[in-house]
This record gives sequence, C-alpha cells and structure tokens, in this order.
Amino acid sequence: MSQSQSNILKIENIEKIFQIKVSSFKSKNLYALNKVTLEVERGKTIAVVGESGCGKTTLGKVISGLYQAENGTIKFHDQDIAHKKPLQRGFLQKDIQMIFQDPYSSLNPRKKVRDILEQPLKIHTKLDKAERMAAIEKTCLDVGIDLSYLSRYPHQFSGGQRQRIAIARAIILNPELVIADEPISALDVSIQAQVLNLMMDLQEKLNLTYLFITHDISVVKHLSDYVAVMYLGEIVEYGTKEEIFSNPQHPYTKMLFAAVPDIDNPMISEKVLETGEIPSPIDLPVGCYFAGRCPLKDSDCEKEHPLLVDKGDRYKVRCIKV
Amino acid sequence: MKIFENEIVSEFFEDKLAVAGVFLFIAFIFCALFPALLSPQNPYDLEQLFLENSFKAPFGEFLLGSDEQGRDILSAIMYGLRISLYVGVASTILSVLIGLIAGLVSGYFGGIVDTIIMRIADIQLSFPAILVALIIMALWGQGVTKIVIAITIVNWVYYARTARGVVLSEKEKDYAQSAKALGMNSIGIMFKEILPNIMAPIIVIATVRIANAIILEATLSFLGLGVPITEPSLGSLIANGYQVLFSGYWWGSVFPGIVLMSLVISINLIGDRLRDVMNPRLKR
Amino acid sequence: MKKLLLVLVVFLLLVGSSFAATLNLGMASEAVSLDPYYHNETATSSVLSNIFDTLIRFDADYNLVPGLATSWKALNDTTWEVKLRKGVTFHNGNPFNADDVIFSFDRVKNWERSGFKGKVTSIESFEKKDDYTVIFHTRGPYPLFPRKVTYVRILDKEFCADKSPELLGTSAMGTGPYSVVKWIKGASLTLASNQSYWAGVPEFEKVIFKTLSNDSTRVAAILSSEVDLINRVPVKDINRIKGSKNFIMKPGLRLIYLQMDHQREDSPYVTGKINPFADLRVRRAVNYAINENNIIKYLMNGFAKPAGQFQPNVVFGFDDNIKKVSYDPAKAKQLLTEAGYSDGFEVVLDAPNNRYINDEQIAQAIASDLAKVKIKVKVNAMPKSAYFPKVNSSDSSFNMLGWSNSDGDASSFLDACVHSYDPDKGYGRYNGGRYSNAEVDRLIEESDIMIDQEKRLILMKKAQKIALLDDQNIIPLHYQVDLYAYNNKITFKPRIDSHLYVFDMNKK
Repeated sequence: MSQSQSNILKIENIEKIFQIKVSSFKSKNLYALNKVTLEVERGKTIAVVGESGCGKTTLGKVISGLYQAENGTIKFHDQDIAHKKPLQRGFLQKDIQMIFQDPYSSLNPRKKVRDILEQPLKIHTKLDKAERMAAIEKTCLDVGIDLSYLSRYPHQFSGGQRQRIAIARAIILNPELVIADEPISALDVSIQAQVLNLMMDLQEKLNLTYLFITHDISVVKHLSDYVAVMYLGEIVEYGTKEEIFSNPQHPYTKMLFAAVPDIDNPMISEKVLETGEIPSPIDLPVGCYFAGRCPLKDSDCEKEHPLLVDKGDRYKVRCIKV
Repeated sequence: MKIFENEIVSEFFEDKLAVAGVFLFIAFIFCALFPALLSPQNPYDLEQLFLENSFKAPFGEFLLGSDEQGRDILSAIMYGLRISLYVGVASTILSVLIGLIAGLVSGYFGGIVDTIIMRIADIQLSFPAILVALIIMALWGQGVTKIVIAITIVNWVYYARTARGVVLSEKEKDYAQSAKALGMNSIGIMFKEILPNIMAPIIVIATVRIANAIILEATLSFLGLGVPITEPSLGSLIANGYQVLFSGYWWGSVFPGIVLMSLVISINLIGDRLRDVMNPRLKR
Repeated sequence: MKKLLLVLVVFLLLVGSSFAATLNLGMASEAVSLDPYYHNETATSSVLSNIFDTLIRFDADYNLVPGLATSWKALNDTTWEVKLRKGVTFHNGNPFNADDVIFSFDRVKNWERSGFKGKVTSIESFEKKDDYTVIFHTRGPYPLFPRKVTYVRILDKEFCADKSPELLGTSAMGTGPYSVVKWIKGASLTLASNQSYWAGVPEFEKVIFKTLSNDSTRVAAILSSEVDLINRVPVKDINRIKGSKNFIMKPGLRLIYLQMDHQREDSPYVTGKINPFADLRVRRAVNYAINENNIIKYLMNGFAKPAGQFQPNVVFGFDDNIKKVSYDPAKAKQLLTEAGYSDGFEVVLDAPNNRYINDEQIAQAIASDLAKVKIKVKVNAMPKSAYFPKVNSSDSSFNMLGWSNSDGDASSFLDACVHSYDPDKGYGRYNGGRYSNAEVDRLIEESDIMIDQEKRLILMKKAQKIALLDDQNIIPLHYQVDLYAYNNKITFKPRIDSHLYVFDMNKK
C-alpha cells in the first residue's frame, strides 16, 4: 500500500518507564508511555495533544533519542531506533531534529548565533569552514535571520528571533522529521502566528515532516494534518484533523475541545482538571484510565482496559462506549 | 567563551572600592613581575648581602629596614610577592582545572562516579584546610612546587562542588539536551556546552580563593613548612621577622604583614565586586 | 569571715614559703632519658648531675675533685686504685659500696644501648678489693683514666636489679643532692632535696626544671619571674633582659666548625665531577673567605669567641702558638684561582636549624661570605633529628657541626673527629668528612697511651698542627658562649661544662 511507503516513522508499542525513588532502597515504576503506536506520514504534520503530564513530551524525547524506550520499536529508515542514544544512531540522527519550547534555554547563552548554527554541521557533515558558512547564510535567509545577527549572543534577541534561530538550527541539516515541542507557547501571542507561518513555509519548501507537540487546540486546527490525542501515556484517539475536529468520539477529546470556549482563549484551561482526578501513572487502574473522569462511565469501563480500535479510514479510538 | 562583556566591565568599574582594589592589585602584580627593576637589592643574590647591614632600622639607608643577614626588607617583599602570587595563582589555576573536571564529570555522569568524587570531597572538607596542607607539607618537605600542589589538593574541592552543583541544573537545560539530541558526545557537551556556562560562579570563587591560597601559603611558611627563607615569600618573611619581633626588630614582620594584608584585601575587593556584577546574569 | 581571712593568710604564707624554697629553672631542652648511660648529651647530663654522683667529678672550672671516691692513684701503668666514700646512701636508703660501682661500670660497658661505651673502652676490667676499694685495669697506659671516670654516674645495684631498661629511663635512683619526684616529659621535671646528702643539705627544697624550648617563651618566663633562671638566652634578647634581670655569660666548650668532604672524588652535593674540597687550596680559601668577626658581631651580638683551633684555652691540649687566620677574601680568591676555581663552584651546605645558637643564620652568613669569592652555597637547614643521621652517614659534602669538649682534654676531639675513620679501633666516629693522615693517626694513638702529660701535650699539639694548619681538615668558626639570665633571689655562677648544678647555687 502506498500508505506504508509514505510513512517516515513507524512507532509500535513504545513503552517508557521511569524509576521513581520512594526511599533509599526502593523505587517504583512510573509508566510515562504505555504501548504507544503511531505512524507518521512523510511531508505531513501530526499534532500530539493532551494535558501536561500525558506523555506527549516524553514521546518526542524518545523519538529524538533523549530517552530510550524500554519496549517497542521505532522504525526510521527501516532501522529500529527506539533503544539507541543519539550518538549510537549515527547519520540517522541527522534526519531527526528538534525544536524546544523555550528559546531562552534551548540556545546556549555563551555561544554566538554563528557557533550555534555551525554546531550541527560540525557534528554531521564534512563541510569545510567556508562551506559551513555558506550553509549557515542560506539557512538564515530561509528563516529570516539578518546575517548581522550571526556574531551576537542569544540574550541580545527577542523571543521570536530566538525561536527563528532555534528553527534554523533544526533545519540546517535538511532533516526529514522535525519534532517541535510546543514551539510557540513561550512566545508572545503577536509573534506566534509569524513563527507558525514560517514553519509552514519551511515545510513546503523543504518537504519537512512535523511531529507537533502542543496543548494549543487552535494551533492544531491551524496546521496539522493528523491529530493524536494522548491521555496518561497512551493514545486515546487518532485521526485526520477534519475527522477529529468535526466529530470527536472519545469523551476525553470532547472534554478537551469543550474546555476551549472561544478562539480568543484557545488554551486548554485549568477547568479541565477540575473535573475529576487523573490517576497516578505509578499505580495505573485496571480498566480505562479515563474512567474516573468520564461522564459515560459505567461498571464495564473499570473491568478491562480498552484497546485502541482501528475504525478504518485512518481513524482509531480507545473507548468501549464508542 | 567570552566572559567579560562590555556591560560587565563598565558595571564593575562603577564601584570605587573595586577600582582601588584593581589598581592596588595591578601594582602588586607589577612589583611581582619586575622586582629587578624596582627593588634596590636582589635578596637572592648572596653577593649583595653584607652582615654589616644587619638589622638596620627602617626609613634610613634601607627604606623598610633590613633583616639580620643585611637583606633589604623592601626588596625581599617585592621578591616575596612574586612567590606568594605565583603560589596563589598557580595553585588556583591547577585547582580550578582539577575541580572543574571533577565537578563536570561528577555532575554530568552522576551515579557511582559522582558518589566517589563527592565522598572524597566531603571527607577532605571535614578536615580543616590548614591541617590537610600541614600533613602534606610535613610528608613532602619544603618547596615552592610542593606547596602549590598541597594548596591545590586542599582547594580543588571547592571548585568541584560548585561546578557539580551548577552542572546538575545546566545539564537539564534545553541547550544541553539539544546538543545531546544532535548527537554530540558527552565530552563535547561537558566542555563545549556546559563549561562556558559554569565559568561565572567559578571565576567569582577563584578570586576569593586566590586570596585564601596566598594566606594558606603564608601560614604554612610561617609555620616553617612552606617555602625556604632563601626564596622568601611574604609568609616566610613574616616568620623570619617574628623570631626577632620581641627583640625590638619589628620591621621584619610588620611590613611584609601589611603588604600581605593589602594584597588579600585588594583581591577580595575585586572578588566581591565580580560577584555583584556577575550574579544577576546567573539568575536570568 | 575572720576565719576565711585567716585561711587566706595562712595560704599566702604557705605559698610564699614554698616559693622561697623552690627553684624554677627554664631550660631550652629537656633530658632525653633519666637513664644516665643512654645518651651523651649536655641537656641530659646537666639534669642528671643533680641526681647522680660520679666517683670523680669536675668542679665549675674543670678541675678534678673527689665525688663518691675519696682518693685515686695509679698503682702501675695499667692499674688504678680508687677508695670510696663511706656512709653514703642512695635516695631509697640503700647504702653505697663497691658493689654498686662494679655494677655501674659493668652496665655502662656492656649494656647494648649504652651511649658511653666509647668513653670506657680503655678501661678493661675492674674488681672489688673490699667494700670501699675498687681496682681498675686499663688497656695499656691510660693517662685519661680520672677524666673518663667522670662520665660514669653510679647506680644503685639493688634498685636496678628488677627494673626493665624502659623503667630505668623514667625513674632514677642516685646518691646526688636531689631525688626525682615527678617527670612530665616535654613539660617539667620536679626534684626534691636529699636531706642526707653526704656533702651537706641542699639549699633549695624543691627544684623544677621546666622545658621552655621556644626562645620567646623562655625569655618571657624569666621576665615575668615565672622561673628564676634560664639558660641559652637568645642573643637578640640580651638587651631586654639586662635591664631587669642578672645576666651572665661563660665562655663555653662548644666549638662550631665546618666539615668538608675529603674522601670522595665525586662528592654528592657539589656541581661537577671533581670534589673541590679534595684540594687543600680550596679548603684554605674557604677559611680565608669567612668573616667570622662579623658573624660574631652581628649575628651573635658579640657573644661568641672566635675559634682558631679545636678547643678553647681551658682544655688540656690548647696550643698558644696557633692563631686564627684573619679574614682575607683577596687571598681566598687567589687560592681559588690557583686551584682552578676562579669562577667558583656550587655546593650545598647542610646545617641544623635547632641545635646550635643561631645555627641557620650562621650558615646563611657563611653562604653570603662565600658568594663573594664566587662559591655558590645553597644552605640546606633542617631539624637536628634529620640533620645528624644525614651528616653522620656522610650524606653531605659540606656541613656545620658543633663539638662540646666534655672532659677537658683535647683527646676527645682528636679521637672522634680528627683520627681516620676506624670503627674497629673506636676512632674517628664523628669524622664525617673522612679526613685521613697516617702521621696524625700515629700521633693521636701515641698520645692516648702516654702517661707523661708533658710529652702527651707535645704529641697532641703536633697532631693538631698537622691536621689543622698543614691539612686544613676542618674550618673552626667560634666557641659558643653560654648565656644565662637569673633573678635577684639566687646567686649563680655558671660552670664551664654548661651543667646547671643546683647544689652550687644559693638563696639570696
């Protein structure tokens, strides 16, 4: 099928477990990712949404190699990278880049912009100094950084400019996949749109695939092709943007969208949290994780953990009531 | 790795005391670097010493008096400054190097490496610095190089602990994570990414500890375990003068003591100001 | 209230009276051991002279006077008869007799750790004739017999019988004017008077030897009247003391001298492959280059006597005809040029820094004197505990030493420091420079068995003349001067041997 050929990333049953120390000698498992399965289509944008603590950032870090998964596979260029550190992934890592949420901390404050942009080239290419400078200048044009900025330090820039620099660093190696972890949430509202537009332009120009981690529903609406809704380390609903927005099935997704009253205040508000308690990821319930907060809950929900059911037409949902 | 941005420099010089400290320190450095140009006598050159000049009172033929061998105290102070500053600076550079590496490795890798290095540091810190230095010098004997090593062994701990603390927070920051995701190796992340960001607190501590190292050397020399009197440091000059202090020859101890005090004060003034101007930047 | 006052008055009286009867002495160093045969060293001998008697002893000016012996005479060339004092008891009440003498001489000769073996090697055997007469047999004619006997302090045979050597090191049982009350090592030694002392009742009831090794502390103690007398007054502090306390000096017996490596062709602490000190002209040049008068004037505050030979004039063997060479750097340079050292050489001068008066400073001054004739001297000063083992094992090319003549006869230095190193015969034990001259050896050995004192004197003078003037075996610097300060409560006359013999001191 053409679909599988166009998949750039194939995530299967990924589990990430953190050891939490409860005393000097005892530790407990924290299940950050529970058998996450996800396919990412080349050239598209997939948005991963959910409340904070749902595991969406962990998912990004596992893909980028900052964390190694305990179980499962991540197929990238037909190789399993789920258990490899960035250094062990070799040239594969060149094609997976990351944009962090906070441009104030993601750029080394003691390095000039030129050095920051040069670093990926030094690590992953054999270009000489002049070629590296040419590549830097080209990327600067792409993202709209004035060349005179190159010899400045990050703290001399505004947040938007910094995020452009961070984006430049991510695309300078011409990657296939860019993981963007809330790339605009730390920015002023007035700047957010500019950065989003830049990212979309770049996607078109460089044929990028985005894994867009966010809790901002309006952003999801704006730029994603597919949406994956996560809750407590697992995907509860997956589908095309149109499908998810026009007809959300899972009660959690409904709750998320309901919490966005109007377009002026698109963030998932604290109200969501008020309705019921999120179970602890250390002691997960036997049944549906969302049951405690679910308006549709009945006794069946607490008996067995629901599976992510493929409903066809790229739509999946994890709820026995649907 | 640029540390002194222009604004820091200009902010630094807003404080008059700090400026005075800088000038005093530069004057001392100059004396220490070019004692031959300024001093009336070379106290190392035995051909220039005459017993006839034994214990000449100050403000006469010898501006600050002479010791029993006829050694000019002023010249001895200038040459002594050289040894004292050399010991202070050399031991500080060495201990910063060792402390930084230990702190970086300890903080970055954590685990058993961290436990071992920090336990060594804790054990060493539980002994008074002077005691550790005394034991080392008693085992090894006198000598400038030996005292530098002894002070380094005492002082690296302070840098290691500070560096480790900063590394623990810096390594979690996104720039370090980003470098890691790029596929940079640990050595590169530690030294190219994190190291420049922990230099500010280290520099502030180093200025304070230079003064501390100079005092430690003076103390050891005063106790007869530092540098020999034939290569006088300020501490050994004070010790030498102390033997006859109560016999009326006060100048042998008092003048080197005043210079030692001024040197330490000038360094502390600089250190205090550096801490003031560098700290807000750390918080940001 | 009245009662309280009364108690206070009585207390003050008691304190006052006990103070008057107590003599406090501030000593620069303390006894190494209370065992009188353990270590031959001035500080130890000084203390022990108050506790033990010897058969024959020296008075303050080195005259031989009777001690526990009443008379002694040579029966022939190799036999001496010594008559003992009757009615003497040890501090524990045991009577003193010939058995104790036999026991003591036997122990000093045969105890494996005896530090005085060398003093009595020529005394071959001894026997008890009756309870108060002892016969000594010497190995060949032995004119020094009465002097050597002064080293042997008499122990109580019964007391020592069941004591381990360690115990004898901390407890002493003698016949002397004072007995041991308490010894706190490193702090003080308290003695009580022996009320039945054979020579009379000592004037002070209690004597405390306080160890005040730090110069400033010792000076402060006499200035604050914490002690009544101190020895080794630092020369720098004499002016401070002169104002309020009595100050007295006594020319001492200790020669301070420089020793050079004679033997090795390639000496360890000299630059180059050839040992310059092997050349007589270099040794003489060093002698000319040292301005001893300046050292005495500026470093010793005048309190030392320039030394031109092995011993001061009170010692038998002193030679009036030998004069100290005067300071002459030009002559020194000329000699060095003749020897091929016009550009000098480099050498390490080893010196102690806590043994002799101003030892390290003197070494520094010598280094600066020699620098003026292009000999570059690096002074390596160290504590005596490290210094003496180094020098005695000849691990040195150039060093500074002191020799204290303790029996008033030139033979002690000639035997130990001038004669070739010969451990079998017991000669040259402290000849670390390994100077060796067969003619000098012959003269020394001959003088040691010469009964005729006139002829002995000629032999000893001749030996010194060859060794010192012809060979420049050592470079004599000065004789130390003993300096004491004491308060007005006592009368005090220093002894030539530096001992603080309390029995000779009086209340004022």
